[in-house]
Amino acid sequence: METEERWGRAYALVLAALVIEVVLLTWMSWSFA
Amino acid sequence: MSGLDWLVLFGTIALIVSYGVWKTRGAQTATNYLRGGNDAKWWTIGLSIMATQASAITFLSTPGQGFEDGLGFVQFYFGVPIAMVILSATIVPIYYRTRVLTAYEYLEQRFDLKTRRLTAIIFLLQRGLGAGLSIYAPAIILSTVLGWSLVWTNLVIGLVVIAYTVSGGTRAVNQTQQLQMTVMLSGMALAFAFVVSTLPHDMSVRDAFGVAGALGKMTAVDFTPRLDTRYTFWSGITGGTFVALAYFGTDQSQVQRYLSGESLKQTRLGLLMNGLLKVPMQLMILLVGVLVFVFFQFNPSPVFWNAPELEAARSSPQAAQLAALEQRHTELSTQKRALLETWLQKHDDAPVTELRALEKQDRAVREDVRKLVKTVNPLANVKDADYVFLTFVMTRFPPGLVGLLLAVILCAAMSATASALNALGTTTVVDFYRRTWKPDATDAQGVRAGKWFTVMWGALAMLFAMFAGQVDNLIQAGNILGSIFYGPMLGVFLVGFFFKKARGTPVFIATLLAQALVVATWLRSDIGYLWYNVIGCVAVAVFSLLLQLFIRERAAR
Repeated sequence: METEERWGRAYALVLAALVIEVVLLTWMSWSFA
Repeated sequence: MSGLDWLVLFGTIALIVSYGVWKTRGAQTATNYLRGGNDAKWWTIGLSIMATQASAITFLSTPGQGFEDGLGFVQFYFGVPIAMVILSATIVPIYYRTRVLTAYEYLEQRFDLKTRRLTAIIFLLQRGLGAGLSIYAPAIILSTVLGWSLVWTNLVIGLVVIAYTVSGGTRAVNQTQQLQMTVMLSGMALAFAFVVSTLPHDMSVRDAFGVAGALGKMTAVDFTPRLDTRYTFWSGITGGTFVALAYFGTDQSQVQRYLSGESLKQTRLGLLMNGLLKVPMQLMILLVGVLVFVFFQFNPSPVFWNAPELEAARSSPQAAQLAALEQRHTELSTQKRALLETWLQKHDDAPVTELRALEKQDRAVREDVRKLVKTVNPLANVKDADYVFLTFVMTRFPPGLVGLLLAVILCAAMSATASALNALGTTTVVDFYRRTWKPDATDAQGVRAGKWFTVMWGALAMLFAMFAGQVDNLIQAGNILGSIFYGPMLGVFLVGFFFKKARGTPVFIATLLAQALVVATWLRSDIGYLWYNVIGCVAVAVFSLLLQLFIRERAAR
């Protein structure tokens, strides 16, 4: 169970990285538009 | 090319290949040959997965896409991290539990032999063509820009890959890919730094991005909900996820990489590493293209980048027409440059409207040149963006770095081809030779068959590369080819994993119907190709459920 929780956190980290990338790229698109 | 470049190029390739052969020397069992000894750590798996996907076209066409269309292509990769998480949580544990050697072997355990054969045949067809393309596509560009012989470039790439893939099997592919990917990442980082250093002296990277943005190249994310626009946030997040799920979850050239992992934990970590690095890596490659574009706003650029074809047009009866277009291109470039220089000195609001109007006119001129080149030589490759980056490398990079960048391109060609040949050989042995043709084969016979089938697929790929005609846009041809087959393929696996009651025959028929539907969509509609993955996958699921209601499976299968 604990292991599954740790994997859950690892998955959340990867998805959070994607969200940050999309936000940064959107900001970049707008600020250099 | 200088002597130093040749030394760096051949030194890098020779070192990587010898390392791969040396690391995997000695006798092998069939399972070890096909599965790679099951001792790969997460970084080997992660780098190997990335190297398999990174073909030479990634390093030739992607900067070209950045140069031509800006950063929008990065959205195609938004689905990769999502797919890595889904695969790690669902499909990969099933592969580990069932101890399969190929993805298609699982489908016989879940459904029946005919479904396994059908998917294995689809894979062999698609990846067989893909392997040919992964040799041919870089060879044609290298031969055009460097003047190398197309036949020899094909032969050298093909034979070197066959040599180490056959000798060391899956382990040799993984070991060499680790080094190849390291060369690719460091080579591109150096290229990025060098391109930045070529910008005009008083220009910061921020100014360069400002110039690119004013000319419409910095739009990385497009939230417009349109089906006919190829790369949007929505197509990336849905179609991109589906294509990544299909590619990483059901394509044996990828599945084989992570099935060689030491444990499920190492495999999951390797996949997540790919999920974290993919978007930044592709963004860096696209930015190299965008910065090359900025460089050519302040330096003269040819009106058409495929130099031999441009020369041919200059000595054709259309020479006068071409000269007028070249003159117009120079005038527009001079006007753009004057506007940009004034703006950069004053640092006030960018003259966006004027700049974009000039850029639009220049694009129209370049389009007219493409049409003209096509009239002179109907077989000419007029998607000249593919030639931009290599031309820039050859004319502007310092000695040594040119050799390194060529090593990056050849490493990429070899890593993608090696994974393909390794997987084609393995699928032929596991899903046909040992399953049907020679079920009582000994271990030694299995290894021998694996080697011979790899040689056979390598020879076929080289033959395809030798005789392939002109391919319109290389990277997109590859992706479209994948998308036609990937949707239904993913559909079969997802139905297998998640619809507990689904049975073989309805799924088999549903797959054929869904494949026909995707081909019809491709031929008869303008829908962007990323959506084929969604259509094919959903069609298999829906058809399977409907057919399940009508077809009664024999009780004793």
